[in-house]
Amino acid sequence: MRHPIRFHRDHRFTVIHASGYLDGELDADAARRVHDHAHICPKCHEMLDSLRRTISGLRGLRGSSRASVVPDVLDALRSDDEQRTS
Amino acid sequence: MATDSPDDALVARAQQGDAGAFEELVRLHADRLHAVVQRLVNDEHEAQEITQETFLRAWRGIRGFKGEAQFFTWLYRIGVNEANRRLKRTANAATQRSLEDLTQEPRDPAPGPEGQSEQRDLQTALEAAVRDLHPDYRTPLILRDIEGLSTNEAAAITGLHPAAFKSRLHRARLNVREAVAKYL
Repeated sequence: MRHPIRFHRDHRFTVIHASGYLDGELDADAARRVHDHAHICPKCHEMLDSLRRTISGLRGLRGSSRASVVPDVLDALRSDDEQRTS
Repeated sequence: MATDSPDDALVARAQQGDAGAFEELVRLHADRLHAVVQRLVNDEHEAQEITQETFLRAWRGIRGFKGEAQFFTWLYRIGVNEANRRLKRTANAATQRSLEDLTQEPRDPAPGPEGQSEQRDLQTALEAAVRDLHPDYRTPLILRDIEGLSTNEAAAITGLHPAAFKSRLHRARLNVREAVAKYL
């Protein structure tokens, strides 16, 4: 069991750096600190797990069945060109 | 150019006045830009207007594009800035309206999970949670998590320092997580 003060510091560190950890953007020492703390802290373990599922769900929102806007944008550009040259 | 990207040759030709090359850039980027803007403003008609306006401005200003960032970063920045400018204008009008709303009955909450698949519930809840974020937090989340841009690309589009961008992204994720907790 870690010392309570150390545990508390690691807890705060994990809450602050959870996104960086999940994005793989922490350096090795910081990532290990989050990893080790989550292993002994059920709250942080759950927080990381639910945050991971949230991010995964957000990625699933990408994409659309809407019709392409390309024809309308091209029409607007051509129309604007015509107005400026006439 | 900052890096070699598939856009570079098209951008160079467009800077020489080649409209066909610019139209190719429209084909490459318009639908994705429109998807980002649509999520920002939550209005299909306005999103179409902003997308068209963005490409008109980009075409007029393409000679001034120095290539210090990637073309799509520059393009998205024009679109995101315009979307946020319009959102602020709308927010000012909404502040006035919300005073009137105080006297009206509250709207029904979002429909419960009954009769729908869990995945669909989660998607619906996520869509609502993203819409409810303040634009300052919604933009990083859309660019990074929904559109899948890198932190540096997304930060460049928002004009934020990467550290500030990460901070907003994390806060946005925590808010969304809290809002959809019962579906996770």
